[in-house]
Amino acid sequence: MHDILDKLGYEILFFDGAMGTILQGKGLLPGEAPELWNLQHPEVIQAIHASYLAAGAHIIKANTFGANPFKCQENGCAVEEIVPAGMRLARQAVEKAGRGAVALDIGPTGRLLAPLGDLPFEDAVEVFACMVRAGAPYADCILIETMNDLYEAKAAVLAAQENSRLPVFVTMTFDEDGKLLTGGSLSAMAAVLEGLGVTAMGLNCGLGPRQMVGLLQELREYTGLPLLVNPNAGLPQERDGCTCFDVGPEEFSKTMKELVEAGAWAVGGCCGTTPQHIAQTVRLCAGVRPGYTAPIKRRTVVASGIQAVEFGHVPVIIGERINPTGKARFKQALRENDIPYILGEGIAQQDAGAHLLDVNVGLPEIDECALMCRVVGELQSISPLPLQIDTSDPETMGQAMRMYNGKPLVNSVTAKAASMAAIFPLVQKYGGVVIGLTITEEGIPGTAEGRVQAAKHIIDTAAGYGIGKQDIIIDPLTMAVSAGQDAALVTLEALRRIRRELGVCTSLGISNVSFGLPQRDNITSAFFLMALADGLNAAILNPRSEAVMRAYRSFCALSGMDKNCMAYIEAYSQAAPVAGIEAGSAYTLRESIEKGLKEAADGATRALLREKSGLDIIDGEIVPALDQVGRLFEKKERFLPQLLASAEAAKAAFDVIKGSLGGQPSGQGKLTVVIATVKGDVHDIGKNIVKVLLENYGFHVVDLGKDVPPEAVLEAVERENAQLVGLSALMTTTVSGMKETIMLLRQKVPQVKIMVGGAVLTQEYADKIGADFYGPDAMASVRYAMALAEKW
Amino acid sequence: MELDKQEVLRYLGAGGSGQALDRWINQAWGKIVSVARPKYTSRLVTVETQGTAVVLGGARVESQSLAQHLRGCREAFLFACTLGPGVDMLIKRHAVSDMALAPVLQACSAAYIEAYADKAQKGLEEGYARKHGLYLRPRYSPGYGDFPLTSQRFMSAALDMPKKLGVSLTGDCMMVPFKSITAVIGLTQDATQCHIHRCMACTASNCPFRKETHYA
Repeated sequence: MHDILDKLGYEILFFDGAMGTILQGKGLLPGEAPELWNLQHPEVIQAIHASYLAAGAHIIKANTFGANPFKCQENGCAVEEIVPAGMRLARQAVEKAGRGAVALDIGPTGRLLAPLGDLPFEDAVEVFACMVRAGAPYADCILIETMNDLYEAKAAVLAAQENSRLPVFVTMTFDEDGKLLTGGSLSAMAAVLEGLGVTAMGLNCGLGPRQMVGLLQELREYTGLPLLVNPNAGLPQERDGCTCFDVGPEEFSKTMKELVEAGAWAVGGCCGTTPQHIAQTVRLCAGVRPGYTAPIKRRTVVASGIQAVEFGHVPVIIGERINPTGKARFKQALRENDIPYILGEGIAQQDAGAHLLDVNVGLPEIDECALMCRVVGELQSISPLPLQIDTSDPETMGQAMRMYNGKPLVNSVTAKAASMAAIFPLVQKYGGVVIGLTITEEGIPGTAEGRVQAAKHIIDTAAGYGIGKQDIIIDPLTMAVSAGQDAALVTLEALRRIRRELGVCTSLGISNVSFGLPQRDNITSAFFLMALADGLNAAILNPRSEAVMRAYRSFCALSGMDKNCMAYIEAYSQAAPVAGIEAGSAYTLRESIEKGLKEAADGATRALLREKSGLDIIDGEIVPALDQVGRLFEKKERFLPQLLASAEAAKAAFDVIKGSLGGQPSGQGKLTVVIATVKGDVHDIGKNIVKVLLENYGFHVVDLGKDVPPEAVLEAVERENAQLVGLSALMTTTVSGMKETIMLLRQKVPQVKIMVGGAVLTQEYADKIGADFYGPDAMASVRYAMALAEKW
Repeated sequence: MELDKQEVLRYLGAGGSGQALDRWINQAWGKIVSVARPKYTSRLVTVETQGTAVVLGGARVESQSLAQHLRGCREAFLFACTLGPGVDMLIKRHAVSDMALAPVLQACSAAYIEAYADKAQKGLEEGYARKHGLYLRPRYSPGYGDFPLTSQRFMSAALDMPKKLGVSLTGDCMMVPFKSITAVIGLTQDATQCHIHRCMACTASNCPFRKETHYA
C-alpha cells in the first residue's frame, strides 16, 4: 500500500475537492462529459489537481468518475483511452508536487440494476471491471463514490476486488433523513460493505458537512471500519434555476473539524468545494488525532439493499413458507416457473410479521441455481425484507450470494469439514451471516454437550477464514418430542450453553418439535415460548400461524421488548378474531365473486364442494358470476378495480377447487395465451391486468413479462403451442416493438391470433400493424379469447 | 399533497365513483403518500430555435414540435421529478398480492406526481420567472410530438438525474423509477400561450386520458 494510505488511522488524511463544478465554471457545457477534458484540455485538469495538492490534499481523485463504458460509448470514446489519460494526469500532478496518492475514481453507471431496472448484475460488474482494468495500473487506491444504490456499489466493489489488489474505499450519497435515493439505510450500507471487506466507507455528495455530522455519528455506531467524508460545500441551492453551493471555506472547515472529531479518518470535498475549502480544512484538522468516539460493538446483522435486521435484541422471525417441502401447490409453482405465486407467499409472510424470508426452491427436476437467483431478484424488487438463502447446493449458494442485493443470512453450514470448506469461502468473499447447524461427521449429537462442541468447532473453523463470531448464528436443532422424551430439553440446554459459553446468537426451526402429534400448534407455540425465555435470538417458522405469532407478540410485550405494547396493540386491538371462513359466510359464492370478496369466495367454495363437483361449481357459479361482473364493467357500472377484485375472488375459488382436484381444472384451459409487454417497454400493469382476468376465466396464460424481444415471443408460442398472443405497449415510441413482433409471428407461425392493447393504441393503428384484434380495455381481450375458445 | 379524486378517477378511466371505489382510492392514496419520496431538480438553459431543431444550452435537439412549443422563448427550464423507487415497489407488490388495488395505486401515483410537478413548476415561476417578467409554458416532455424519447439521455446528463434524483434510464430510454417526469418548460414574455393544458399540445386526440381543459 502507498505510504500515505498506510497512515490511515494514525493521522487525518485529506482528499481533494470538486472537479465537475470547477470545470463547469471553466466552460463545461450542460450534458458534456467532464472526462472528455482529459483529452481536450489536459492542462486544465492537471492544474486543478496541482491546486488541490498545493492546498494540502493527500489523495487526489483522478478525473475518471463517469468514464464507464456506457458513457464512453455515448461520447464516442473508449474507456481504455479516457481512463488511463485521466490517471496519467493525476500521476503527473503528484510527481510534480513530489507527494500525494492517486485514487481511481468510480461513479455510478447511471443505469439501474435489474430487476427494478434493466442492467443485469453481472453486466454491471463487468462495466466497473473495465474501468478497474484500465485505471488500476496507475492507481494507489480505488474510490467508489456517489453511489446511491447499494446493489450497484456491491457490483463495483466485486469488480475492484476481482481485478486489482488495491485498497477499496466506498462513499455513498444519503439525504438528510439518512436514506439513499433507493431508500437504503446507513445500517444496511454498513452491513453490506463491511461484509464485502472494503478498506473504508463513508459519505459524499448530496449534503453539506453540517448535515453529515449526525449521519456520521450514526454510521460510527454500525461499523468499525475507517470512515471517510467528502461533503458538498453546503446543501445545493436552486437559484435562478441553477444549482449553487453556499458554504465558504471558513465555515466548511469548522464543520469538517467536527466530522473529524466525530470519527472521520479521511476528509475532503465534493460538489462546490474548491482548493480554498481544502486548504482551510487542512489547516484546521491536520493536528487532530484520529480516534473513535465510542467503542465499536460487534453486531450480528443482515441486510437487504434497503434495510438491516440486527440479531440479539428483539427476537427475529424468519418466514419459512418459501419452501417446497411437503407442499404440492408450491412444487407445482416451481415446476411451472410460477414466480407470482412464490412472491405471493413472501408478501403474505411479510404482512404477517416476518422480519426475514427464507428462500428454498430446491426440487430435483428443476434448475435450482437459475430459479434461486430469479426468485431472490424478484422478491427483492417487491419486498424490503432481507433474505435467508436456503440451499444444500454450494454452487447455488455462491451464485445467489453473489447476486443478492445486501448481506444475506446463509442457511446453512454444519460442523462437517466438507460443508465448512464449501460455505466459509463464500461468506468470506460476499459477506453474510451463516447459520451453523450442530451436525457433526457422526450425525446429530444426542447430548447438549455434543452440540456445544459442534458449535465450537464451527466457530473455530470460521475464525480461520476471518469470519468472526458476530457473523455466525448457531442452530442447536429442534427434534420431535414425540420421538424422544428429552428431545426438547436437550435442545434448550444446548441453546442456553451456546449463548452463555460461546457468546453467539442462536436460531431454531421450531415447528419440528411437534412432529407426529395432534394439534401441533399447541406444542410448537409452547416450545417457542420456552426457547424465547432461554434467550433464542431467531426462529424459522410460519408467521401465518396465529398461535405461534400470538406467543411471540405476548413474549415481546412481557419481556420489555415492545415499547408501550404498541406492536401487540396494533396486532390485536381490532379485537374481532377472524371468524373461521368456512364456518358461516353470509354470501353465496356468486355474491362473493360479484362483490370481490376473496375470503368469502374461499369459504363458500369449500362449503359448496361438499355438495357439488368442482367442475359444476366452475360452470354453474364462478363463470356466470364473472360474466355478470364483466357485463357490468362493459356497461360502465363497475370499474377496473372492482373487475379485478372479482377476478381475484374467482381465483380464490379456483384455488380451492384446484386443491380438491389435485391439479388444473378444465374449462377454457384448452386455449393457451402467450402475453408480453413488447421490447423497449417496461410498463406492465396493463398486461398484468389482462393476465389476471384471462387466468380467472380459466385460460392457460404464459406471461413473458416486460421488455420482451420478438424472438422470445415466437419461442414461447412454438414451445407452448399457443393459439393466441396478447401484446401490450404503453408508449407511442414502443409501439414499433409491437409491429416487429407481429411481423415475425406472421412469418413463422401464421396460424396464431394476435391481440394488442395499451394506452396509446387505436383500432386504426392496430389494423395498420396487422393485429387480429384491438382490445380497448381488459374485458374486451377476455371476450375475444372466449370467442376464439368457442371456435377452437 | 391534497387528493384530487376527480384526477384519480380520470386516470382509472372510471366515469363515476361509489363507496367501494372511494374506499380503495383513500386507501391507495394513503399508501402512496407514505412511501413517496418526491424530489425534483431543474436547470436554466438558453433556447435558440433553428428551423426544425432547438438548441438548449448549447445542445442541439431535433424536434419540430418542441421548436414550435418553444417559439418566442429565449430561456427554458430543464426539469425532472420523481416519486422515488418506493412507489414502484408498492405497485409491483400489489400486482402480486392484491391486483385490484394495483391500478388504483397506479392512478393515485400518476395524480400525485402531476400535482407535485405542478407545485414545483409554480415554485420556479415564483422564484425566478416573475422576477424577470417571464411566464412559464406548459411542460413539454420527450415522447410528446416528435420530441424524441432518446432526448432523455440529454435530459439525464444535463440534470444529472441519476445523482440528484436517483432516476436512471433503461437501454430504451425508459425512466426508472417509473413514476418520474422530465420536461422542458419554456420561459416567455408573452403570457397568451401559457395557459393551455399540456394535453392540448398533444396530437393523440382520441387518447382516453385527454383532458380538454385549460389551466386556471
